[in-house]
Parts: sequence; structure tokens; C-alpha cells
Amino acid sequence: MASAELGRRFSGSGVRLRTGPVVFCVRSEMEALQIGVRKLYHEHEVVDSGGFVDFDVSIESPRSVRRWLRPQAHFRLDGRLPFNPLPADQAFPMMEWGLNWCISSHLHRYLMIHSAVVARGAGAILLPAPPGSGKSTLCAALNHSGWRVLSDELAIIDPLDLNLVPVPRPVSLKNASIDVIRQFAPEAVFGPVIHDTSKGTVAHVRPTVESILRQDEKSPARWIVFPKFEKGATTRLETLSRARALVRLVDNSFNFPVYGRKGFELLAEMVRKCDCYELTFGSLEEALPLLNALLEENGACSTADGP
Amino acid sequence: MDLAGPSQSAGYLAQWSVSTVSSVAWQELDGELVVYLEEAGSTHLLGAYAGATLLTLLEENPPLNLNDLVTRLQGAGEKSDTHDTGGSSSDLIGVLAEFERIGLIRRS
Repeated sequence: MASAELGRRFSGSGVRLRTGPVVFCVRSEMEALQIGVRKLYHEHEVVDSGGFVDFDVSIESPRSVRRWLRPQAHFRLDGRLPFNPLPADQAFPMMEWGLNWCISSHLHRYLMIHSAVVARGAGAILLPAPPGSGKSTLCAALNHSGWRVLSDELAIIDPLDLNLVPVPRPVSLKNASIDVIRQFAPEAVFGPVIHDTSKGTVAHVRPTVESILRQDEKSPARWIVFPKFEKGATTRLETLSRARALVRLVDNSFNFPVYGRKGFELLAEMVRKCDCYELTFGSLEEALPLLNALLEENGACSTADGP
Repeated sequence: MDLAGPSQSAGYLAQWSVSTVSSVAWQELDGELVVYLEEAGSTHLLGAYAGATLLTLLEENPPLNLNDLVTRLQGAGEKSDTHDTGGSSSDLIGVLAEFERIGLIRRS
């Protein structure tokens, strides 16, 4: 879409972006937000006006002195303000965090786990973990190593067939992991680096074009790997029992209580089809070969699925 | 809850049953049991002996006392290669205490 038209839509009817089954409409006159969207959603489909929108959001300056004095940004969803304001330069990460909240709090037609998900060949790896475990760093590195990213934050499980649904959006990196990925993947497209957020320094990386082109291709879960970054640790990939993996998936679920017993049965059925591991890693260079080896053991890697 | 010591006789006389059978879901994966308690919304991984104990309680309609449970578990162990049923009464008391704590069973 032409830049001028994009600018008009940001200020008017909104820019409608599609990621997998989710369509969100973004309105904002804030330059920080527009720059981030233009760069990091550059390859995403812009949906025509008039269709259904899952989430109608605006990132806006307050109508108070905070518009000019230590300027702030508000996240507004369907007219409501669900969060406290943030400094204006955090407008883009605010949108990303807000959209994560929108999906995890509302998209209950899917069962959702706090997890990164990447796919290649026969299936997908889930990387469920709390913040700080290194799942997004692994996700970004795998995405730039031939895997497509389905999400860096939300494993979205279709309860009808247990396949993982792609919602590829920019991968959020924090602090030291920003430079780690810059060095690992010099071709990666980064958004602005934002300092002094509640999560420290953050920056987002655009998902690969393949991830977006294949956003309508669900993938079966094939491996569940619980990552844990430990500086200086000896990297090891250890088998985890499926029973323990099931309990930990439940613990990492966003909306398990919504599904209750049905969710328990669904997750168990999915886990039965997966090999489960714990990954402790001190460096990407040591971790990635272990994860890539899973694919080779499965015999699922083919030239058709190369980078 | 400690059923040993001065109250041990009371523990042996107590009868145990699953609190609300319809609200208990379980899945066996590779010989391990994971239990979901619908009313509490909690999920628990059971060791082999605890899993066998729960399955025995689920199979039996009337409540069972300690001796009955030990007998049932030993009988189940003779038939099964996968379930660990060889615990002592004190092991069983510990398992039952934990089950009661999480709301899985009740005593009568």
C-alpha cells in the first residue's frame, strides 16, 4: 500500500492488518507507532475496509498536558482503556503487548498456551516458558534458520484438529538478546530499540516473508521443548515425560480454565503425539543444532523446506 | 493430615472415596497419571503408587478403608506389570493424606 494512503488510514478509518485468522485495525497519529508498523508489518496483508475486525485498537496521545509534557501513549480497545498509559516512545511495543493481551484474553475459540511456536517440515516445536527463559530469542534465531514462526508468544491450538494456528507477528526481544540476534542474523529487520520499558530495552524483529506467506497453513505439534536460558550453563536437551509436559502446559496456558476438562483432554491428546524435552542453554550456537537435530531424527527435513 | 501415632487406629477405620467422581478427569501417559480436578481447577502429577491408589478408588463404588485398599492394591499388582502397588500401609496413609489435602478424596 502506498505510504500516503497508509498515513491517511492511520489517521482515519484505520489500517487493517491480518495475521492468520486475526484481523486488527490500528489507528494512530503517533509517529513512533506508524514507523514501527510500516517497518515490521511491511509484508503483512492490509485488509480492505468494510470487513470484520477482531480488534479495533488505537494508540493515541492523551488529551491532557501529557500530550506535550513527558508525553504518553494510551492503548484503546473498542473505546476502552484497559491499561495505564506509557511513555510515548513506547507506542509500538505498547501496541504489540496490547495485541497479545487482546488475543490471549478474548480469542477463546482457541486453546492458548504461553509459548513460542516455530514450524518446519512435518511439524512444529512449541517452546512454552515464562518471560526471561529465552523462548523469543530461540524463536527469532530459528526463524532465521529455516523455520517459519507461527508466534513468539502464543501457541494457538485449534480444538477441532489440535493443529497450531499461525499468527505471525514481530518477535519481541529484550536486552542482551537484541544484539545476540543482530549478530546471529545480520539480515534480520529490526524496529526501533526502545529503552527504559518495564521489560528493560526492547526491540522487535520482523518475521520472515515465508512465515507470513504461509500464515494460513496450520501445523501439527510434533515437539514440546521447555527452554531455560542460563548464562554459562552447559547446553543440554533432556527428555521430559509426557505426563510432566502436560502438567507444565496447563501451567503455561492462558485460557485453560475456559476449557476445563475439555482443555485437559485436548492437551493430553496433543502431548501424546509429541516428543517432549527440557532445553537448558547458555548460547544459541549450542542450542540450535540440538533443535535442528530433532527435525533430522524425524526424517522430516527436505530440500523443499529449506530457508 | 497425619494419620499415624495416637490417631492411627482412627485412620485404619476411616473409609475413603473419591470426592466427586464426575469432576475428576485423568490421563495416563507412558505409565504416569495426571489428574484434573474440575471443581478446584487444579492439575496434579501422581507417582506410580499414588496413581494406582487413585485408580483403585475410582474403580470401587463403596468407600474403602485402609485394609481394603491395601488388599485391592496388592491384587491389582498381581495383575498389572505397569502399576506400582507394593507400598506399605504408612505409604498409603501418606498418599491418602495428600489426596485429601488437594480435595481429591473424602473420608467417611
